[in-house]
Amino acid sequence: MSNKRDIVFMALVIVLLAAGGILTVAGGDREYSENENRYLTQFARPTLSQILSGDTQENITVAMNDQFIGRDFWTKSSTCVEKALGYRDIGGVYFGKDRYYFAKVMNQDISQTKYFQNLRFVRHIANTQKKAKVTALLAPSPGMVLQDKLPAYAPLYDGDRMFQEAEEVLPQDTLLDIRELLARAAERNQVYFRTDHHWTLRGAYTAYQAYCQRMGREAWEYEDFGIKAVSDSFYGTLYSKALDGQAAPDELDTIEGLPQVEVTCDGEKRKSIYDRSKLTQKDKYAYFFGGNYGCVTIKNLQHHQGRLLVIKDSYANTMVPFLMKDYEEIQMLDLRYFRGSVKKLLKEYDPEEILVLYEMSNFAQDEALHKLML
Amino acid sequence: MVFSSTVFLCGYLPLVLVIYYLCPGRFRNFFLFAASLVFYAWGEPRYIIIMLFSTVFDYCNGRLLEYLDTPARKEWRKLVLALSVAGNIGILCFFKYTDFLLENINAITGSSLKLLGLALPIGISFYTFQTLSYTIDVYWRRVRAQKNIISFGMYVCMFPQLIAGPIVRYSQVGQEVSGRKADAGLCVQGMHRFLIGLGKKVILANQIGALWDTISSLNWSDMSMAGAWLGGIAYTFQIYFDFSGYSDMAIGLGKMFGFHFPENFRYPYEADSITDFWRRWHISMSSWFREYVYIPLGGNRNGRIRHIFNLLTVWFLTGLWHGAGWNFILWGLYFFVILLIEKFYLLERLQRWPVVLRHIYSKFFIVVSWVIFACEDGGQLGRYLQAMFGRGVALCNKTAVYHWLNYGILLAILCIASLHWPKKLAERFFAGRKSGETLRYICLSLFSLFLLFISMAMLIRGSYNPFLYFRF
Repeated sequence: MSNKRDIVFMALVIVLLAAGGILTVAGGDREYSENENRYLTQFARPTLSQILSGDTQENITVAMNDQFIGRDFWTKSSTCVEKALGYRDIGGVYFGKDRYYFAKVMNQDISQTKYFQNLRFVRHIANTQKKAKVTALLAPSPGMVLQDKLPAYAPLYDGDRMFQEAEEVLPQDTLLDIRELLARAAERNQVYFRTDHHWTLRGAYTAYQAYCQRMGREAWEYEDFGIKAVSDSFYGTLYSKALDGQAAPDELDTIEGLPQVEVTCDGEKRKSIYDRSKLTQKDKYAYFFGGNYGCVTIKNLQHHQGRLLVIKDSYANTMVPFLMKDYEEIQMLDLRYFRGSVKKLLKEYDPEEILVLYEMSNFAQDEALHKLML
Repeated sequence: MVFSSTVFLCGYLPLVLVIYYLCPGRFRNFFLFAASLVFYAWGEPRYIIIMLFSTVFDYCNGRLLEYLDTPARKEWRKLVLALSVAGNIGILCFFKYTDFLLENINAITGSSLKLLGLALPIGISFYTFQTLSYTIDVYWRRVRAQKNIISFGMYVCMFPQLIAGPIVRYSQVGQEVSGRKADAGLCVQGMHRFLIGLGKKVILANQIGALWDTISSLNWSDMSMAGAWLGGIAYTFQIYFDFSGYSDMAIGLGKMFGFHFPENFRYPYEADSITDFWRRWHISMSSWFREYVYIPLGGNRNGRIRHIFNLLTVWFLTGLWHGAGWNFILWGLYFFVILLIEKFYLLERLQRWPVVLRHIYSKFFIVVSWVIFACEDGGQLGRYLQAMFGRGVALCNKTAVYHWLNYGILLAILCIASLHWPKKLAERFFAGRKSGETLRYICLSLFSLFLLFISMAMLIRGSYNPFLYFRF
């Protein structure tokens, strides 16, 4: 039996659903989501063979979600509901105290085999480089240093054991363990971003100090670097996973007191290590060097000794600026993007110091360290 | 296509509903048939051939069985039936069990026969059972053969129950296949039901499923007894809300098109014995096995030994039906053993136990059964069960405490949602009021729209959204 209310409800549901579909398909193609820091799947032109193989259907299924009208609103709503359910981690991110986010990396996410393999690649470099002093600085993950900011009982991978293993595998005096220094620095300053998985300039400076001390060199004072804020609305990569409407943005600082340098990023010459255009984008950490490149060369025009090679992930992008004053030349290798031969580079560049700098969980999962053997 | 996707919800469903209701009555079966083929082809364009073959094959068998229905041709009828059963089971076995068989032959004899590596056509176990029930029922003269091949095709391929049940027997919907009334009233009932099912799947099952996913992949060093049980409980809830959510959605969709499908779940976790549990769990499947395997084998009428053998057969097949893997067979046999013990010994005594104890007993064996079901790898199953019984792991650890705390609220919601009380209380509330019926209607409508909203948010966000039935 039909009556008015049934027809109204039936029409309402159909219209609501259809509106979502029509507006999404008509609503154009977003290529990139700043908010989520990733490329979105777009509707592709179907072909018969792709329909038969199911690729077109797969594409439409994914694109429909990615392009859905008001996507950012929906993702935030979903986070809201999950928070209401009392979740303390959403989208692979812990919601910590003082609005800190932490990547949820657990033991099962880290392959011990891979970790040991990577350690042995570094050991190989340390053993074969007779002239250069090799240091491996494995930065602890934010959650290891800011344990009191993690949600209660939140499990993280066993970093302490991994540092111990690194100590055992690497030659003596190779590992530079700055866990305690960072923990002490964290009592006074913010050493990690709240919404990003990187360390702040304070954190990077702590690492710089420790490295100087290891090299028997005096470190410059933090104040000597002329540090100023360039943005107070930095929403980092962890925010992009958490997609939480109540996130508190971070402040991004810059180092003004830098020497005059000539920078080459994968062959492209630049005047500065900063890319100001990134400050208007969401991933503002890329302000430093404009992101990651296979090989970055920094020539200091005012200082005339010292050659440093940094084998690194993005954690180095904020620490290397501190080091620039003290070297004639610094080369940064990001093995994920480096296409050349490390052996050849070592021979030609002939560095006096080699610094391997990775964040610990990133190091353990890295797929490119084998290039050290090439 | 799956129901829990934006493509289905915002594309396929509104389009099909609008066209269906605009369609003149006599074209509706054809339209639903065509729409169902599109639905199936979305994920499996090539395997549509198999489904169409089954359709034509069983349509012919049905017609033949009726044509041959004279005393003189009794033997021919038997032959046609045998052909139909062999054909249907043959296709099912070929796609589903060939590789399993070859793997086991390889393992036992050390040979290296090449596996076929065929993807299992989704829903094949469901629609094969539906077509089988049709020819067998025609043979038994319980139903008349369907003369219109379009109508029959629509029955076999109908998208609502195609990929995850319920197994709708032809005898249950035969009349509606030939002629039915779809109106706004029934359609709205169906929408309410569908949206509640969607909520069960997307909000409850997917959320708690993520917990099982995390715990079952923990390193052994992070395992604990408390964690292992939490994982088992999580999967127990996941499979119920996923499966019954799909059934609700199927029943709801059926109503939108004017069908009345049988109920598939009746609050199974309220059961106080395993016997009771199987009266409430996946009813369309267990009654299928009862009708077409257990009773034809003689049921309990030919002595105790034969009775036990019949039960063994049914439970072995039930296990195997759920997937080509030893864990599924083990899962079936596990229930065989428990049900046997209950039947001949325990059930009478259970009645004298306190209620709480009966529920602890039934939940314990239910959770363990789902762990067997979920762990397809024998080694993993062994380790997981060890952890549940505290062998080689701590009683509790940090990881377990975190997850118990994190999922506390959701677990409470899941417990409440598994019981019949919320519905009963709501009904009592509305029944005692003037214009209670209108109030009920408004509340139910708002509630189902609320569920739709949250489900959409979670689907668009791309939260964990697995499809559990690709082994069925």
